[in-house]
Amino acid sequence: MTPEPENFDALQRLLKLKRCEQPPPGYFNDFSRQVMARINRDATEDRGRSFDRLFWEVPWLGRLLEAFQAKPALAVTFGAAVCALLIGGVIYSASMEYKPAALPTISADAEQATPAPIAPAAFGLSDPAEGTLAATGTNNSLNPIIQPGGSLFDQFRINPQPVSFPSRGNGD
Amino acid sequence: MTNPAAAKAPEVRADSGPSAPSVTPDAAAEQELVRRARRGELDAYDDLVRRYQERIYATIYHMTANHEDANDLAQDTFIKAYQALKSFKGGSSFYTWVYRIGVNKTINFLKQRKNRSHMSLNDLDFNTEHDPDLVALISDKTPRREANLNELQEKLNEALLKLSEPHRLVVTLHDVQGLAHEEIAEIMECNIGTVRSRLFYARQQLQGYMSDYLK
Repeated sequence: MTPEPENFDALQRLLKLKRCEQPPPGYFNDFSRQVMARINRDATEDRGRSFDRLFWEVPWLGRLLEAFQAKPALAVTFGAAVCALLIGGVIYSASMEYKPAALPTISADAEQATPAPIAPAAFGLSDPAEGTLAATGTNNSLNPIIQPGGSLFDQFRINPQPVSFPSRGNGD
Repeated sequence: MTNPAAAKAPEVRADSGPSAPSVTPDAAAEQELVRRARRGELDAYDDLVRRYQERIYATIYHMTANHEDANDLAQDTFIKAYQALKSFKGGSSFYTWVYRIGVNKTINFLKQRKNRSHMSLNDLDFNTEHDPDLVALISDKTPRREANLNELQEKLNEALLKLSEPHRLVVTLHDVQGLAHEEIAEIMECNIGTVRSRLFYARQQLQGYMSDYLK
C-alpha cells in the first residue's frame, strides 16, 4: 500500500512568481562596485589596525609620531639629521681604505723553536721534497696564511714547490 | 515529485530575471579567475562577483524575503569569500563554495532574526502579469489584476517564511532557482535523499498554506 503521489504542479507554477521578484532597476550594475569598495576599505582598516597594534606594542614610537605631528619643525629636523647621518656614513665608508692587517712575522728564535719537519711518510708522500714544504719559511703550521678571497680550506692545500738542496762533497 | 527543469544543470534563461540561474559556469575560465583572485587581482574577483551576484542575491532574498537584508548578506558573502579564498581548495566549483558561504550566513542571520521577521519584497517584474501560468492562478473575480498578483506574492512569501530554514532553502534552490538535487546536496552538505525528503515535506507544507490559491 503506497501513498498516492502528490501533485505539486500548481504549487510549482505558483513558485514561479518568486522568479519575477526583481530588485530595483540597476541594482546589479552597482553591486560588485560596492563589494570591491568594501574589500578595499577592509584592507585599509586592517593596515590601520596593524599600525595601531605596532604603536601599542612600541609606545615610544607612538609618542614620537605624536610629537612629529604636533611640531612639524621637529620632524624636519629629525629627517635632516637622519639624512646627514646617512650621507656622512656613505662618505666615510667610501673614504676608508682597505688595509689588511700586518701578518705576524716569526723571529729567528721562534723559527728555531719550530718543531722538526714532519716526516714525509706521515703525509704518505714519496718525494722527500714534498714533505718539507709545510715547514719552510713562513708557510708552516705556526704561521698559517689565509689567502684573501680564497676558501677556508686553501690553507690546508699542499702546493708543491721545487726546493734546491746545497750539494756537498766532490770539492766543487 | 521532481521538477523536470531541475533534473539538468542550470541553463541560460535570459528572461527569467535574477532568480533563475543564468549561465552554466565555465569551469576553466572560473578556475583561472579564482587563481588570479587568489593572487590578489581584484579585477578577477570583480568578474567572479559579477558572474554569481544575481544567483547569490536571489537565494538570500528568497530566504529572507527582505531586500535590504539580502543586499547586506550578499555583500558579506562575497567579502567573506574573498577573505577565505586562500583556503578554497578547489574540491568543488567556486560557485558551489560561494553558495555554501551565502547559505550558512543566511541561516545564521535568520536564527538571530527569528522574532523580527519583516518583509521588504521586491517589485514584480513587468512581464509577470503576462505569464500564462500565473495568470491562470489569479482569480477572475478581482477586477484589478495587479493588486491580486501583489497579494499572491505576499501570501507566498508569508508561507515560505513559515517553513524551517532547511526546508525553505531546498524549495528556493530547487523550485525557484532550478538547481539539481545533486548541487543542492553539495551546497547543503547532505545527501540527495535528505534533499528529496526535505523538498517533499516543504512542498506539502506550502501546499497546505497556499491551498486557497491553488484550487
